[in-house]
Amino acid sequence: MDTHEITTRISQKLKAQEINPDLERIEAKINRLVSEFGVPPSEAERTILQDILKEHGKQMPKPQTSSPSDITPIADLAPGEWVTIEGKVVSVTDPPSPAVAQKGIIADESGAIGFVIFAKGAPALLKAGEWCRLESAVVDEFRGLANLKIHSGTTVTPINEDRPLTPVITSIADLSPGIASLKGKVIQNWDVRHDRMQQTGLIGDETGTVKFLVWKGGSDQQLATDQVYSIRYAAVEEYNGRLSVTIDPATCSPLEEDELEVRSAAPGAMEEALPRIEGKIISVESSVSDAIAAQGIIATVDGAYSFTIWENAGILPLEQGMWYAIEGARMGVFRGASRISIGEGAQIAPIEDRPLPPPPLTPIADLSPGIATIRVKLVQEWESKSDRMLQSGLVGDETGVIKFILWNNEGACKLQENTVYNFFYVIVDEYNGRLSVNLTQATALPEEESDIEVARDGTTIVGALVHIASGSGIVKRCPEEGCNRVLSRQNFCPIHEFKPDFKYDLRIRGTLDDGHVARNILFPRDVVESLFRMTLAEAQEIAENQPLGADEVIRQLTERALGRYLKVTARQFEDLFIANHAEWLTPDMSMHTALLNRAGGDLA
Amino acid sequence: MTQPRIQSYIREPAKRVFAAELRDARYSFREGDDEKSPTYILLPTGERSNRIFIVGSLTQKEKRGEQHSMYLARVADPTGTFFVSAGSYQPEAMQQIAKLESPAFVAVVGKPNAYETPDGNVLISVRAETVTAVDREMRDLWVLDCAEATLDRIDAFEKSPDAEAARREYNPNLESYKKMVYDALTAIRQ
Repeated sequence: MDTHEITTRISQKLKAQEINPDLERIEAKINRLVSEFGVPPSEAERTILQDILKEHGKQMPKPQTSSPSDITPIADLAPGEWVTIEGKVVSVTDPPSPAVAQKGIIADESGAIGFVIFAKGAPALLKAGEWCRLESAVVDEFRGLANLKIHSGTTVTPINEDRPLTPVITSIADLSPGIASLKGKVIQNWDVRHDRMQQTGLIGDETGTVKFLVWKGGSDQQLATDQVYSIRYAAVEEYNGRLSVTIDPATCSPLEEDELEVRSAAPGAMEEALPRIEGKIISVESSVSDAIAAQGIIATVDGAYSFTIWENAGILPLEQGMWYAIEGARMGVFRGASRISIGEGAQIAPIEDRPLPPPPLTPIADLSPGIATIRVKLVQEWESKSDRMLQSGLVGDETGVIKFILWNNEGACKLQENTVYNFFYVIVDEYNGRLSVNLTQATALPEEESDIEVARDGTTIVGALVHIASGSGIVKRCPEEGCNRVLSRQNFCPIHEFKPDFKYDLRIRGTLDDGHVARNILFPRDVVESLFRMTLAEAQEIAENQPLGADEVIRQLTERALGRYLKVTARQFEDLFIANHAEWLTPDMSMHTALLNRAGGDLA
Repeated sequence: MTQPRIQSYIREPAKRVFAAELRDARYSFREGDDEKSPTYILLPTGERSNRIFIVGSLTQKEKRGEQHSMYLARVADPTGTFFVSAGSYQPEAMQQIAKLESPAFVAVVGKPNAYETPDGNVLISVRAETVTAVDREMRDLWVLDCAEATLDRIDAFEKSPDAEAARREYNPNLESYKKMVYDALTAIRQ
């Protein structure tokens, strides 16, 4: 973020209102909002400007309508302005949603900008290839880029002359998000995996390569592999720190020069190089996707890992049960688990069979995402929700229970009750803070005549406490043997009437919500005491001595608990979960890495 | 100790959604003809939402009206801004907003509502049920949770019962929502 740039813009707007800006203070405010509070820079800019204007008793200036003669060059457009421009409509695309009537790109000699016309109150649509004058259009910001909004108040006047327009060619290494023209050769054509997409692949020039996309709705023309094109006014977008260009084939013209030497791109980050490793292929699945040639599980003497062989590694299929030596692989993290990534430049050679020490058993309570070997018994079988799933439910050992999944693969068979199994090389996944084991690829070895005493502490649920119900906090209970009902404020029990010799209790009743299910939850006294470090005696002290009494207790508990994430172990009674144990959740940075990979993993 | 309870209704879960995705939402619908049936906002990633949970930074608040006063607040997450309101029907949420000094991290549970602006745009605002001051750690947790929930929705798009409506109303570019998630996650990296 460029603090200085924002400060300058704010000061200019203040000066326009005859306010003398305090640069240091503005800069400090930006840092506070952006660095400390994670506010996006544009929101910070708006907030600070409004706050300072308010201090001086002034209003936010209304967006200015520039005088008609005042034509702004496209390169100078800045978000928030009302402008008049003259430009050529260089491409139009089908609207992405019914609310939008048209999208496209308009250019003049200085540069180009994307435009959008909303369906509601839309003026006439623009025609590709024509020059026009747009009065009172609004420069908006869309996904971090300036975008021109043509609305019902915009006047569109066609200009009936074709003015010269020469786009400036940007080399691929110099691309940045926005609109750019380039010259490049199509070097790879990938399979299309989105129904709105017409074509995708890789285009390159002497400086590097970039992913390209062609959406449906424009010209049906396909770009030919190995052909060099001049591409005018393509939209450059940033994703995962990588750029991609969206191309309209109508703006591409093939060039004669096919001798363009393309520089290939650098490999991805967030992985570290591995020394030579030797391991046995435990399981392998081929041709997973266009980009992935194979994936599976490999066991080394130090442990077992998931592996991915990328298509660009150009490696022949591996055989299950064989030993291989791998050089040039990398270790990455995928969904919280270590994973060996075998890509371009890696080498794999078969080596002779050797003994593999039996993998150590991991108790259920100690499992973490990755590969593990477990000794368990079927605890509960759940109704299958899909044909692809053979069986799911809970398995357990002496240390706890865990959800398992068995997909309907060839050779897979259901777990039987009252049988102890050793499962070698199961995949441990994490989802919503809960672990599960996938037994589909694992080798199952039933034991005869043995049993395990499964520990059943209840289930672990993670979620946000989105609601605290009335009747929470410090309550009075009826002291009659076996009654224990909560008394009214007047110490009245519905059965035993007035009970001045009540007993105090501390509890929270509320809703724990994981985004999928909202569960009724009860935190009994011992759980509340350890979670809030507030004993019943302390709560009683507050209730009896503070002016707000019992309301003060619930106020304090609410302030500290509502809207917070908790990890709770609970037993279920009908629709109520009663907590045995609860702790505040803290951010898990391995989850952060795994999610980053998930959000960007597709682009490898 | 547990008395028999009657489950009169199933509480709507609070969906996790980033500001940039909610900003793209504009379609609302009601399940059933009953006056009391809930209204849902359709998220572009293909799931309905009747309630949402957000954690972000309160950047501004404004009191409107004297007799039936209400508070309007802006809450920013790494992807954009939520418009939050609390009126006399949500006294606790309103008092919380009144007490808070901006900037502050807040957790908000509320109902999303669609409004049409004079220039024909549809704006989604969140009518707060509860507002609490939280810390940065909770904000980070929420970004992780919301990122996972959004990616899960994207991955399960084809299987969602609301996918057809989402495709018809938004024709969403799911890749761009993945990018939004990526950018949000990058923003919380220390």
